[in-house]
Amino acid sequence: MHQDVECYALNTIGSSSSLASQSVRVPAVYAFDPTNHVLIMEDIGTPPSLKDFISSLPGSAGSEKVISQVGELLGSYLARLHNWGLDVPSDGIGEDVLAVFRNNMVAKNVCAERTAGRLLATAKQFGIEWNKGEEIVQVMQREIKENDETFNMGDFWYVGLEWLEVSTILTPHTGQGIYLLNSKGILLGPSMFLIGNLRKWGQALQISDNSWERHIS
Amino acid sequence: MHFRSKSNGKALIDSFIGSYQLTRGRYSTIDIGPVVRDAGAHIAVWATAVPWGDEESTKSAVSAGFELLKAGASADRDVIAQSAFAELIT
Repeated sequence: MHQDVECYALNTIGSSSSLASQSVRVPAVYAFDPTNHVLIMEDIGTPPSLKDFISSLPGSAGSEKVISQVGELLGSYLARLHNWGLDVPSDGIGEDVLAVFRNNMVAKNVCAERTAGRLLATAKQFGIEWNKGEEIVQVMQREIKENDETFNMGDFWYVGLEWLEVSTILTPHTGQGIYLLNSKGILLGPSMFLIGNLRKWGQALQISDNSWERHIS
Repeated sequence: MHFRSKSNGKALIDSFIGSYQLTRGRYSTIDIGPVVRDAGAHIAVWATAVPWGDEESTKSAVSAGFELLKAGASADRDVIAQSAFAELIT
């Protein structure tokens, strides 16, 4: 199922004129054999990961400018992906496209478990009083599984742009832009959580600078 | 300067969010409660799942995560206004 969704996502996104970009794109699919689980994709070589690419920049104000350009490209692309998901029914592609991602229950269940599955046990472990815990956990998991607002790229969504993950899904290809390499986690979900995930790290900075440094090292 | 430095991380986050919100345009309305709730949940759980720090700093992160989670679940704008999510309040 994962491979089916990935193939469908790559073909659908790759052929959308709304998302066409020379700077950010997905690899082309050349062939897919669902019986034998073989997916033949565009060979993008072995470019550096985003993490390695940015880490290789010299320590200067110019580096921050490059990083900001990368952030702008990715932010704009994901916003267009979210808007495109809202416009799909009028984009000539129709409900069939939405259904594939709406029914990506593997990704939805993973998101629900990652986000809320361990909350009650964590509260108990750390002695945190949480009278409405069970009720809130149920609401959170239901929203993840039933809120089908728009396209969400799984690794963009609940994992967000965390540094350790970004290196595995985004690859800047020198002179050819950035490839999004993980499309099997695409599902329908609320777009707003992306912003929450990013701002979360701002909050983490406020909690403990030292812990933040250790966490991302 | 390193990619994982706070200044570089902030540059990436700020540029990403600025560009994202600008491009979203008419779809940019954000329901702040669930955003804060789920981000708080992620902080609370993530701090126990990765080598976050010593016992005290892990406990601090978990507590802060649950504080956010509760504030988001009850849409407590006073608490949210003191957090990194303040700018999302409309």
